[in-house]
Formats: sequence, structure tokens, C-alpha cells
Amino acid sequence: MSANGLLIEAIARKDHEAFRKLYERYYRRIYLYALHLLDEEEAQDVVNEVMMEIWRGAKRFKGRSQVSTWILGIAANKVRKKLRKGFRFAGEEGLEEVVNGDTPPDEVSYHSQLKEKFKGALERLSPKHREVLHLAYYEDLSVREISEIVGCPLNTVKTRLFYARQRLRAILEEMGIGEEATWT
Amino acid sequence: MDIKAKGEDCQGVDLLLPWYVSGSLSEEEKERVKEHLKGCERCRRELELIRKEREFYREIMDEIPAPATFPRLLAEIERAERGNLWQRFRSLIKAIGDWPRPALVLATVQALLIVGLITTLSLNPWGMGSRVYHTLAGPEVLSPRGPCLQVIFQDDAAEGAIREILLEIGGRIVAGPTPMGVYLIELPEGLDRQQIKGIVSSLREKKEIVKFVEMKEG
Repeated sequence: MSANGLLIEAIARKDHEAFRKLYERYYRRIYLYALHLLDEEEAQDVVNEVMMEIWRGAKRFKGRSQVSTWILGIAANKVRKKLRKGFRFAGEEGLEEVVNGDTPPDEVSYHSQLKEKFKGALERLSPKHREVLHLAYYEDLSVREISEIVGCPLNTVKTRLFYARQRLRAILEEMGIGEEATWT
Repeated sequence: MDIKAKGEDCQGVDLLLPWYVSGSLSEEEKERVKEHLKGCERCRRELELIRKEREFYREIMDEIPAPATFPRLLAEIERAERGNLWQRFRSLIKAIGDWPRPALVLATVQALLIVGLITTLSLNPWGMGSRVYHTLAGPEVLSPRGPCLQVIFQDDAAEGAIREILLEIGGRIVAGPTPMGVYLIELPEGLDRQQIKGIVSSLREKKEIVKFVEMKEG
């Protein structure tokens, strides 16, 4: 069993130290995932709700999937529940701050400007596009793992990411950043 | 761009490119993409763009601060577990209602005897020692004025070692242990955040005695 799987086993026996270790390993990942779909406060709540569920239900983990897929799957459910209750991501307000910010352009490096615009463009993507982009680009999850987390067929995951990237590029172009931009 | 047209041109390989970059394709898929890339300039350009996008994305994510919520989480777990105890107590009461009559009478007599005994002992008729035994295991009994730490000691930590630590940091236990084994330790008043962080780091180094330590916010 993987190191994370052993931690889950220990948590099922109510081992506090294992719980703290798992928290240290995952809280940032859960937070960043939730932050794509919710505001900061709600994202923090999701972290705690997910960890609470792990503390209570570690016994339910049967090792059929990766621990990270299981944990992000719980996070996805929590996020969906909150979205159904009407919590929404700050969305385009963030973009306005970025585009119409007061900071004079010559005081900010090209790279940071680009980064801010990229962030703004991400915020304009739909929650579904943001979610799949995050799971593929940041979490490095396979198509199958993403399909388990978001609950849709493998082909949908592939085409959804394709469209997310097309949309991201279209928004960046609208913002005056073409494919030729030096991103790194 | 029309996804179908693109997919037909490149036999769906272009859809797999993000996973080719992250190395999460099966061997078979990886080979297919590799072969296709040899002869497709458009997919090679696309691959380069995905690499840059991904790198940029990760850079942005790594800069986002993620607040640690562990102390709040511990508090929530404890609250929930106290709730569970109450629920268990309620279900026990409910179950008692279904007992046969003689068992119910017997249980009532036993309960009355226990209550009577506790009442007698709490009146301390023999005048021995303090009349009330104070334990720190209940709810908070002292209101801390200084900054506080939440600490879980190792199961085998000796009392002497814990006392030594308390002397070293000038702290005192003001509450605990909670059902999760958390003690609340009050530090001297007037310490700034940096000093408290220093104490937390020094406690974290004492792994043989301290299992967990976190600053208590608020």
C-alpha cells in the first residue's frame, strides 16, 4: 500500500499524528482546487469539511483508487453541494481589478503583468473548464482520475479540457495576449 | 476551432497532448502520440504551447497562499464528537424505554443508589480533603489572558518532561485534555507573534514529547 494509503489506515484507527500529516500533505491542494470554484472563505470551509469526512470515514477507503483521487473526489462533492446552495466564485470582478488596476504598467514587470492577465483569463472560464484545467495542469491527474472526480465519461474529460484551453486562448487574445507571448 | 475537424485530422491525438505533457498516459497512448508528433508540425506547436501554459499555471498556483485551518478543524471535530456523545446518550435513553418492566425497575433503583452515593460523597460527611475535585479534563476552567497554543503530547511523554517544557516556555496548561488529547497552553502575556512562532518551532523539534503544536488563533 502507498504511504498515503497507510496514513488513511492509521486515521481509521484514530491516529492523530497520521491525521495531521495527511492534513499537511493535502490541505493546500484541496484549498486550491476549491478556490477555482468558490471564494476564499468557502474554500477554507471545504478544506475542513473534507478533512472532517476523512477523519470520520477513513474506514470507507478501500484502496481501489489513489488517495488523492479519493480526497479530491470528496472535495468535488463538497464544492458541488455549495454551488447548488448558491455560493459562487468571485468571477469577473477579479478580472476588472486586474485589467483596470491602478498600478502604472512601467512599474510592473512584463512577466507579472502577463501573470495577472492570465489569472484574469482563468477567472473568466466557466467553473467546469477551470476545474478540469486545474486537475490536469496542477494535479497532473490522468484522464481516468479526472473522470472519477468530476463524474463524467473519459471522452468528455478530454474534450472539456480541449475546449477549456481554446476558451482560455480566446480570452487571452481578447486581452491582447496572443500565442506568441513569452510566457516563461 | 472545430474540435471534430481537428480530431479527425490528428486522430484525437491532439486531445491527449495535455496528458502527454504530464506523463499520465498509458504506454500505448504515449507511443501513439510520439509517433504522431514526428509528422505533425501543428501538434508539436500545440504541445509547446501546452507546456508553457502548464508551467505558467503552476507558477501562479504556487504563489497563492493557502491558510492553514488545522486548529479550527480540531475544534470542529471536537464539537462534532461531543455532539455524537449526546446522540449516543439520547439513543440509550430511547432504548431504555423498550426494556421489560422488572429490568426497568432494577435500573431505576441502581440509578437512584448511584445518585444518592454521589450526593453523599459530595457533601463530604467525613470531612476529608477538598470538597470538590477539580479536573482539567472538563470544559475550560481558566480563562487565559495570554496567547495560547494547542498541543498534543506523545502518548508516552513523561509528566516530568512535560513540566520541563512548560517551565522552558513559561507556559501553563489552562484546559485539556479534550477528547482529541489537545491541551491548551497559555504563554506569558506580551509575547509578539514572532516570539510565539519561535516557541512553536522549538516545541515542534521536541518530537519525542510533542506530537502536535499549533498557535490558537483568536
